[in-house]
Amino acid sequence: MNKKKLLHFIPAVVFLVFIYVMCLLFIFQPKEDYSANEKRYLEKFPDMSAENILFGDFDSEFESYMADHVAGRTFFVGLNAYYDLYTGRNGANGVYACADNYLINDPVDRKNHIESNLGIFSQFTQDNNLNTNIMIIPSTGYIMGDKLPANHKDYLDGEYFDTIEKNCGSMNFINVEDAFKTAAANGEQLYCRTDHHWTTPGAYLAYTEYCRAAGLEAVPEESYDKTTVSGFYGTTYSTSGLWNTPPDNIEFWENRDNIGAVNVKITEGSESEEYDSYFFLSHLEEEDKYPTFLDGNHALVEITNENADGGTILVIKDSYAHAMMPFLSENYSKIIMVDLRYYKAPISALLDTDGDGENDITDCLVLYSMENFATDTDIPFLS
Amino acid sequence: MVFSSLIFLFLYLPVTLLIYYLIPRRFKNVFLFLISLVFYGWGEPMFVFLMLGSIFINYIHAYLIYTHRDNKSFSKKLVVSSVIINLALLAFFKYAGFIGETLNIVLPFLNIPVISIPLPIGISFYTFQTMSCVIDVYRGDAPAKKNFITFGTYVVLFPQLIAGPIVRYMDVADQLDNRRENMDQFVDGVKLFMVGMGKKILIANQMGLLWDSLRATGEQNGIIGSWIGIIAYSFQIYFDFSGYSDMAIGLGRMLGFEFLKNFDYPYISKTITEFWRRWHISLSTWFKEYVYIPLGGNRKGVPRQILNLIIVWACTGLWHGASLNFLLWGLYFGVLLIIEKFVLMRFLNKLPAFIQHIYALFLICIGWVIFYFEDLGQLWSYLCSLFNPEYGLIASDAFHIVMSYLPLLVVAVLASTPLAFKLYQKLRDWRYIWIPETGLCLGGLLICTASLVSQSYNPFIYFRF
Repeated sequence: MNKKKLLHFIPAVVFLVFIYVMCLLFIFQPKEDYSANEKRYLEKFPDMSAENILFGDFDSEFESYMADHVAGRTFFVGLNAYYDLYTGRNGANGVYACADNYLINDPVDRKNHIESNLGIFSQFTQDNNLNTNIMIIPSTGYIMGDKLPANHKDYLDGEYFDTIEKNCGSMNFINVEDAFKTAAANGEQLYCRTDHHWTTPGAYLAYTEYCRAAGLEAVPEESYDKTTVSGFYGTTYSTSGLWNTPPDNIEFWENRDNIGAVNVKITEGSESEEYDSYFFLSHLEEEDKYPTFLDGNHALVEITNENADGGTILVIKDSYAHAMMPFLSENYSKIIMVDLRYYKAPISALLDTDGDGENDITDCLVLYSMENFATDTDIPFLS
Repeated sequence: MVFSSLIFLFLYLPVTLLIYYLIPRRFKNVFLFLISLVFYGWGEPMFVFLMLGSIFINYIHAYLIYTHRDNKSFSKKLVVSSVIINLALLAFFKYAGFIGETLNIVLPFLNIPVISIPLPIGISFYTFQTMSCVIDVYRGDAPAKKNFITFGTYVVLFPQLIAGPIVRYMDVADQLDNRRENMDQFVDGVKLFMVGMGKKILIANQMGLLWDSLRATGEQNGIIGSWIGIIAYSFQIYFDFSGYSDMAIGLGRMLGFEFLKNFDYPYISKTITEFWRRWHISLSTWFKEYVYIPLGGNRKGVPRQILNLIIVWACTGLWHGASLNFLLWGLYFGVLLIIEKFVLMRFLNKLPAFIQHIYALFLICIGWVIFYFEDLGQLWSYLCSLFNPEYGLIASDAFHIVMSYLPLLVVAVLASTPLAFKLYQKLRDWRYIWIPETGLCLGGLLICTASLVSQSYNPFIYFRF
């Protein structure tokens, strides 16, 4: 056989080498149990019983197992993300690769739950005779529009704010849109680059806006010691698969006067644990560092601050609130913070702190990001 | 199991090829038979038995017809019996629900209980193959196989088992016993398989995503948005199906088989008649050989020919699915073909080629709308959206979606033409052709694998520990 002919076999040889290497690696490579990027446990080897094979889901279970444990999985996810990006589909997996290393979630659907969710909170306010402020934090893409790629779907937060303004009923809507736009234009980093959350400066800005609307005195920025931690890879980074994006920094502001005065009580189901700081430093070891604020999502969190003058406030929120609570607790001696995604008991029971059948709490803050407020389907469980 | 899956690429295929080339020749068919049953049984193990039953019945019929080929009336009875059994199987598993529902609408007082049976994968394909075998033997076009395994291998051969091409028995009867695998054929097979996989994963799947996102906003996309939606679907179905056929033919070659081609650039057609000569060739051939010609074809006068065409196209439509829209889709093409044949063709031929292409593509796209929507209400509203200016030319969201798929749409347009093939024909004797070939092969493998792996990548944002 001549040499020229042998060269023509190369594509087939490459093909065979590739499938056999992938095959052998899949069979012999040690398997991981957990994917940190996805925050989930990977599929276990399926039940090989005859019953499961003949009548059960062995086939699909095995395919999921193989997909979770294929060799070079992270590499391939990244390759696919960059392939999508460079063939025009920026945002193919719901995250836009933006200027200045921002990874930003695409806008919420036009069909959303904003009006119905708003109605539920308004009714709740009326039923419990509350003095409710509602703050919806604009989405990253709306405020950081100049970072977005040329071709992107429209962020309609402006329209949604108009809707909220019109339909907030008995609640008082605190619109932070202008303050955020101005601060962003001045170059302040209000949102994380690699995460869907806001930054501490963003949360602080919202806090000052809240104080202004509620007639409170905001604690000045100078009172805080600022710590910056690097190496922050958040959710938009994990979702995007664009592994070459550099990490962001994350800031924590601490008021020294509050050391020893703060108590954070986290309740899950019937169990509670108490801590003496807003910041859970163990999460700094992880790539996703946002859960450092108040240990991430929990059903019920009660924060007390002996130094604060004000009374008690009920905060119904998503995870955006976690970064703002250290500021808010400067003005309220007690914050009762509820996450409706996890807290399923009636909230009205929390309002009556001394059990005399009358509401003792009258202040309420509803604090959500636009993204969550528009898509949340747990709010209807509010009672 | 499907070809474009991790389990096929990185487990089934390597193991199958390894064993197939290690074992002696006399075991190759037995091995192919068994490993194909694994391939088939992977999704629905129970239906393997149904398929084996169907194969056995047809094997007996073909064998008896062949041994009694001198007794015309006996073998004719056997053919009729085989056709009835095959069609009854198909009717029961594929059409029972549809027939029941239709009867309930027409004759509501009968109150027939509508049974819903899961459709056995590939039943439309393998039933047609077994029928082709019995009929070919009856006609004396090919001898029957004495060996059950050889016959079974013809039916279950995994490359063409679940989505074609529908291989006619007379085309492979000889290869089943006398084939010699060789390196050249294997290399060609690999290349064709890679082309097919690229079509399926890199174009069809993406066009499917485009179609899904445009369909989600329905008629609010504007006229251009709606047209691009159905064009994306037209690309999806073509690249999906022809990609699958390419992979099947490629895999066949890797195992030493030669199957006939199934698609011949259908979207470059100038007429609907031409389109059906280029689209799913193995199916059109099947209907022509085993339905149209036996019905008398064009030999019994024009009215009978028109009737024959209507019957064939109604069957073609229903073959694609048990639902009214598929029947409409078949009849739509039947009527178009009749009009072209008897009226339009002489005018069409005088038009500039450009206009002819527009004419054919327009009708093909409308056809895909009928094909896609099983719900006639949705079908009608989508058809309307193609011409309804109420939402303007293109809505903002639809525009952004289309823009992000623009590069791939351009690729899809180019890949629908023989351009790349012609270029390759020119270059194939070039000394260094193996370099771009290898590059494309490796790049294609990496990106296709990346795409398959990514389907399983689901970051769970609000996970609680």
